[in-house]
Amino acid sequence: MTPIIELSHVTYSYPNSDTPALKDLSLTINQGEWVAIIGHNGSGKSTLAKLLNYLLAPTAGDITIAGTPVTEENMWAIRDMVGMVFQNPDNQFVGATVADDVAFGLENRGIAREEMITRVQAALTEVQMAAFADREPARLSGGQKQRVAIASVLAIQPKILILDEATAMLDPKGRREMIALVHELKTRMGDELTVLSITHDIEEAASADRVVVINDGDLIETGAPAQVFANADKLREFGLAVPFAEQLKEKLRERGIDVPASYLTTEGMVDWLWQSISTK
Amino acid sequence: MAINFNQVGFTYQLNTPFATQGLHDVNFTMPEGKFTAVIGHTGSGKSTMVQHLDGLVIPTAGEITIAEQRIVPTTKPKELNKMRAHVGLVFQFPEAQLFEQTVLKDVMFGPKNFGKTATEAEAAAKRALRTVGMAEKYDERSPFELSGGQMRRVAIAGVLAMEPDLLILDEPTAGLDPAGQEELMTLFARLQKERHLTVVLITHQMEYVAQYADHVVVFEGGTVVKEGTPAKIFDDVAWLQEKQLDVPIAKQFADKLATKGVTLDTVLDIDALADQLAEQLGGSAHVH
Repeated sequence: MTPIIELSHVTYSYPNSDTPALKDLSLTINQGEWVAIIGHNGSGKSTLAKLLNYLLAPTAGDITIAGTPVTEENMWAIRDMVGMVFQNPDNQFVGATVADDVAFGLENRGIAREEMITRVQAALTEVQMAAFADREPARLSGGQKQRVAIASVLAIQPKILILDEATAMLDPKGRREMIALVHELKTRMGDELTVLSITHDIEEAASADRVVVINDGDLIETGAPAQVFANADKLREFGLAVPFAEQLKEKLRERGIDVPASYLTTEGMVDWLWQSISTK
Repeated sequence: MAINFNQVGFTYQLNTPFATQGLHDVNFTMPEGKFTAVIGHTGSGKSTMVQHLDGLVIPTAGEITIAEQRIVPTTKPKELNKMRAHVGLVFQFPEAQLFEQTVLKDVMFGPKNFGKTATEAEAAAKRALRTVGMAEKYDERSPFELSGGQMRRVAIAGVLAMEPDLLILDEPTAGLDPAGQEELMTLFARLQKERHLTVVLITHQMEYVAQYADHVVVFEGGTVVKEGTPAKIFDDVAWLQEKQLDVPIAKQFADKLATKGVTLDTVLDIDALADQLAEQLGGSAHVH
């Protein structure tokens, strides 16, 4: 496994703030991983995302992306490798049409017109928005807007896609479609694309290969979703959601039922229940 | 404040070539002093309907009654000022509307606007801020230096300071972390009970509907397609799916168990689910 994001003892303090937003954080993410970063509002997770493409510069510590140090000097090279999609779909549109919008990042980078047309078309096809190329971005639904935002990032052909609460403002259908889209991209692009999703959505986090828990600027835990989600008390302590199957296990335990100690997905819990009930 | 819609229709830019129908043939009743949830997928007409509750738009057909106020297409917006003083509307992402230099001043704006003196407005603002759990130490701070969750609470205090009888909440918890979401919903449920408010909640989160609502109104294609108790609305899963609506997770879970042959009575929340499962498991499970 090749490391693609390496943070070593990173601290960041906002100007005029007494307490750092991130404290001495070290973390390595490998190429092709899908990592979910979870933490309550104000925990420092968005600060972390902004450090990765030099929207913010660390107060202390080092960050490298694919071996390149994240510094002012390398800022543009870094931003070619790290693409970000933010929470509010309305805050990231500049073009008059969907295609113009996707082309914006390419124009900025001086890509030749022929190449640009091909890339815009390909990126919109990736997110199933090719049919909307000539539409006005303002008239799209929230989910469609976020798909176009992803296309704008993909057109740059980045190594890393950061989704900073990109599903938070969508309705349940839009949210599910976004998660499905990331699944598809990961399946198709494999190790070519590393995904970092910052989220409150338990379903989105459970889709990742690895979950990183951040609380008040500290990295609390990192592990497979099954490992992190098994500890309901701890999740609650950090203001995070507990998966439904784990909540149900707790409720059954309170009612005097012996439940498996290990993490169960919804399907796993359903299986355990019907087997226990039918063998009674 | 009971709300009644009778054959209500609304057309944007009526009598122009750009006329688009927003609502048509809307009929429903929201009972006074109860918690009503409005559900429907994005673009179903929920938000257009809500704009009528505060007189932000006037229907182009039919009749609305909100407490004693009757609203028909010929009603002038000015006639609704008296009613509006009793209606508190919390929009999506209300923190975007904060504008004053201090938290206290921001919350005082509403009551002052509706004719309260500075002293009265300040007292109301302080009460509202404590109700939403904002300690006194924040009163003189700039609202823009607060966290997202705190800003949301200040914005909600701004609505509560007007002491409305009807509280309308449009996705009030969107974008907050789970703990923040839970705190706000508990607050709304408590206010509704203590002050006998009429609450209208627009949401995509079916857990809230199952947990808090007495009454549910379902929108689709600019009109109401179903109205009833949560139990009635969530009974027909196929129908909900056709309307692109979710079912509460506890019910989804119970339905999954049913396909495996474990049948339970209707459950909408996790406690009811756990009660029934514990009973069925009781025989074989080891009881502590």
